Amino acid sequence: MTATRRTRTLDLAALATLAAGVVFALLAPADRLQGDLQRLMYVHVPSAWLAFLAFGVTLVASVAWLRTRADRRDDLAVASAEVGVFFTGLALATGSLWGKPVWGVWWTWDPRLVTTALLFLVYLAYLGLRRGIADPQLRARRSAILGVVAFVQVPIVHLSVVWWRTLHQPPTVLKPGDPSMDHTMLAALVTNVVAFTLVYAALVRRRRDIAAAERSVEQAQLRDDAPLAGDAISAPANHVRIADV
Amino acid sequence: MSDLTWVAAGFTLVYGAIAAYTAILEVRRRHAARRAEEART
Repeated sequence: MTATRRTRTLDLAALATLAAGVVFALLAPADRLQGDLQRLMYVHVPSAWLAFLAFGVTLVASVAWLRTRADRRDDLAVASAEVGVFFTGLALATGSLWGKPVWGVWWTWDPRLVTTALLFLVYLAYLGLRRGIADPQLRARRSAILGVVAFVQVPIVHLSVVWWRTLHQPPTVLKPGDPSMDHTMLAALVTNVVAFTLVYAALVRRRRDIAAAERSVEQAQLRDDAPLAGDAISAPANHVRIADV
Repeated sequence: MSDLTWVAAGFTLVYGAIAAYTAILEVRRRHAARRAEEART
């Protein structure tokens, strides 16, 4: 199977699962307390989980780059970090949309919200750091180190609702014991998590291709700029010393 | 606003953002591939 065909197959699988996820989310029973508003969970929770997964992949790819120095690992790390920032942004936006009708505010200085916003900003800084370093090896090394260190925030975000008293509800699925959720709701949630994971894979695939293409342009430019033998001793014909002016 | 309006807004935001980001990445991918091809030749 060619790369284009694989991308197309992944796109179709993601689209079909997303459609199934929407249907399941609308057919699942309404929550006893929140009513239909709780259906926002089917897009909010997968966005947050995918952010965690994306930053986990960045961590693994960063460690792999530090061990092997293989360009492909660096491409995967940046691709996953960018897509992770996208999903973190979605989690913050949908959380805000859910918070307004339920809590009465778009934003509050709650530990879960603040730690998630910090997670978003740190990985945004990771992407900024990469744009600020021209040397490919130095860029890959520094961002790999940040990719490892920044992941410390992920367990802090997940456990923030356990460690501190917050407005945000505690974990209902990723916790010791059985999920405290109706089975139909859980099935709809799992379908949406699978759909978002396929979307993540399709997005990372594209972003990794971009990183690889940009790398080959960079390498070609470095080859063109490299001095040829004799360059160091040659001088322009119209060479004028400052002292002569 | 009714509860379902909030839900519709959330779903539209998420699926719209996914569609927009996919389109942007696809344009960036084609542009980067073209630049890489030019750099090779």
